[in-house]
Amino acid sequence: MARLNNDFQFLDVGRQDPSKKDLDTRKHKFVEIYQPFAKEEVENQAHRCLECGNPYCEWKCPVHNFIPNWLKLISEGNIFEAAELSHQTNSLPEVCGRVCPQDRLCEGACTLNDGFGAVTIGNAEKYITDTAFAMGWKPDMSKVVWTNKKVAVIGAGPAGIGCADVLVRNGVKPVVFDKYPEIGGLLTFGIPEFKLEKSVMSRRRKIFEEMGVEFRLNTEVGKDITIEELLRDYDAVFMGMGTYTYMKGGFPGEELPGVYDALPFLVANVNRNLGFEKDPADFISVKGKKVVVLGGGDTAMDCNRTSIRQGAASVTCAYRRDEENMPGSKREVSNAKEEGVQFLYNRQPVAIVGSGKVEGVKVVTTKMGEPDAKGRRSAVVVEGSEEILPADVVLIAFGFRPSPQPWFATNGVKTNDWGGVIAPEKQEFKFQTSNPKVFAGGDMVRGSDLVVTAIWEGREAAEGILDYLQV
Amino acid sequence: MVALGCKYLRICHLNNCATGVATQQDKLRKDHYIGTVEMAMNFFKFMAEETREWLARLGVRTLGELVGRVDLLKLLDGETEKQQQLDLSPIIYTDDYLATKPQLCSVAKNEPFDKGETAEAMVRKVLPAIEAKTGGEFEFRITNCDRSIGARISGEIAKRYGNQGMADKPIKLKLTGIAGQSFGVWNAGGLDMILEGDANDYVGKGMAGGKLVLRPPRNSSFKTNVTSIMGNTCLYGATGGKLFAAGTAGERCGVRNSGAHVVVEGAGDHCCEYMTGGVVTVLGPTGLNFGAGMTGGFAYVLDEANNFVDKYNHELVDIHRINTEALEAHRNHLRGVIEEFVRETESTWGQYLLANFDDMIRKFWLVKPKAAAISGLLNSFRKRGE
Repeated sequence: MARLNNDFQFLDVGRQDPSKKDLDTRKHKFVEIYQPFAKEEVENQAHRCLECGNPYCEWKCPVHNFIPNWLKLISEGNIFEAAELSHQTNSLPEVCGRVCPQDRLCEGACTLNDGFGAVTIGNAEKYITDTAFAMGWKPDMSKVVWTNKKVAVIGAGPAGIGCADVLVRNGVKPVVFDKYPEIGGLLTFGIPEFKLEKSVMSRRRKIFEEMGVEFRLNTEVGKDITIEELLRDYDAVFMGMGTYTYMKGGFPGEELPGVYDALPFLVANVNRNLGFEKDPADFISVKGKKVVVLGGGDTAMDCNRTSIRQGAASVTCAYRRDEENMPGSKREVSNAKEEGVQFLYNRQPVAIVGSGKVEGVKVVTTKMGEPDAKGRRSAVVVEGSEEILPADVVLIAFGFRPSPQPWFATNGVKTNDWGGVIAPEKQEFKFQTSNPKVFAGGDMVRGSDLVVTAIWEGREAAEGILDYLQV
Repeated sequence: MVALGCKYLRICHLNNCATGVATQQDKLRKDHYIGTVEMAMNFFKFMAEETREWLARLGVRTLGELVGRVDLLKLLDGETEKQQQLDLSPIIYTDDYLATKPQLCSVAKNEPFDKGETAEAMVRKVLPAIEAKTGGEFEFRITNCDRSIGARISGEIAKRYGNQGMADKPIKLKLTGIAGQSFGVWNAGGLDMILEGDANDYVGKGMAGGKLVLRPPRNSSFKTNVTSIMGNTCLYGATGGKLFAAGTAGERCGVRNSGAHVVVEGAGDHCCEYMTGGVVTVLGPTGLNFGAGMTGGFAYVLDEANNFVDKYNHELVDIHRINTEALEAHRNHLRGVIEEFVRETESTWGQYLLANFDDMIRKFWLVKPKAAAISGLLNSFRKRGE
């Protein structure tokens, strides 16, 4: 039994991540790689929290989760209270517990990260909601006073869900439209199952539906329903449509057969696993092939690890900066290494070569230059360092840009020079666009970013909408 | 404190400060405290520098010139509705009449009555033995008008040889009379003072080393274990050395002690308050609130009336009997402590305890911080060597 009220728990008990599944399973199956925490483990780990008077984790967290408070609740075994508190600030805590780069956020800011090992905040967060749901807990809607307002939400990704969650808890009926057959957006179709199993999102859909959120899936705005109809039939519209335009490398050979963008590769893989595949030709198989992944973020890691599980002959990840300067989660990089991905740092692609199909990627070696004004160091080329990495398939994960729709302009929704929707947080009604009835948040406003920042913007935009509707 | 690594965790009262600033836990202090003297120096340097910059911007040369200059203050509009309701104008009010009044304290300084003449006379006599580093024995008579006796000599020792520099060749002072306040304050290793008589408050304040012995006059007839021999707040903030007093101490004996060893025959309220190190041995009853805020060191208390459990502060310390098999080492240690006490003071009460040690030992308590393991207590003070 955990010794409660041990002020020295953080010294007596070390940081302990839940154990991972065996490597053989990890290399072949699309299942989450972490075992769930046992009750005693999570209590012992949560009790390591010092409850700093000035909780750095809470401030670093984009949604400002009440981390020390719910850690205390679970260390005392109060699951339902912890779940209730966790949902006060976050619409998808069990998702954030799985996919957030905690080493850069809460756990990176944890006081104990300095020489003791941070509290396992992410896994504790996941444990709370998973366990509460398994015990039959549901968000308490008994005190909600329903209004007669309703809001159309475009996109069932983290921003749209965050917005719908806050709206419905304030008695405003949200109707969420999404072109995909399941909710979650990139959570379902972009993030592979080894980080987030899809049962998590389908369970969420049931919970939200019981709370009063209506989902209209397989419904694309601009095709199956028009924006004009939404503006006519609803009191306001929220857009959380993400960023789906792939960034190009801008080097020769990108059009060669065998070169794919990250997202179609990942989405097709999920579609096949979930039985959503419409045409077998959509599936991109790398089985038995030499794969080179270009990029160093979390999407690149997803491509690496999906390729391993598909049975690629080899997977090589080439990144133009050094390991220190990789933008993604360090945890995912080390998971990828364990599973057999080869990393080449300081390699900048200059061309994809091959006759009629991909045969290799021509790269040059770079070294880190002086830090720029933001402190991020950019790469400079080493003379005469050209080499060709042999490849049958090249996956490009350079990031995403917004995908403005033709109906933005016709309805007075303005975008900026890189295509992002203009909807500032600091104004009378938070995240309102230049069309007063339309609000927007998440990646389509701020550019590609974390799941948790999209949730935050969705939730904040909901507050803007509530103010606008005078609820 | 922030300059020394404090992260504002607000857990200072729990003794588990993860930055090693507000804790007595050895591991945290050793492995996680990053502060250096230079950090504090830089902080104050920059603070002084910034203060000078502000003074320059205001067009004054010293802080003194700023006193009373309400004309330099401007009221800001409050940021919140509540703040806006505050009327601060009386604070910065002045008029022609007030302007004629002095802005600084203009009363003459209150010079101390004690000019320190006895202490200076003692230094003159002892100095050759310090300079030659030979040590030696001297005799003086003191009165309760003589304050901080010993401090001047300790200063001369420490200036030349450091805090413990003459510990092997001590100056030994045999004193008779009544000591004024702060007898043996900041006592250095290398100064032993044996006082026949008694002392006022603050005996051994900030003491770093050496030995202080207080014993009643030779032909006095009173019982030492029920008679006061020194005042309040003895050993305040002491870091080392030994104090043997054949009599009882006043309130707050050993407050903030971090390394000194003391033996007394009784103590008032709040004994061992905020203590972080050292050993306190009380051979008789104590007052209330024993060990409040005590996070280090340990104590032995003789509890003949069997009511100590109602007197000590239960928040941070716990108490243990020492007549058990497991605590044999402490039993031997305590006997050694009393033997040394008797050697130094010739206390009749101490001799009685030794003669009846096997009976009396079961009436003693060992008092230690809850966070400290019994097994490490004796080792920890031997290692510290403060």
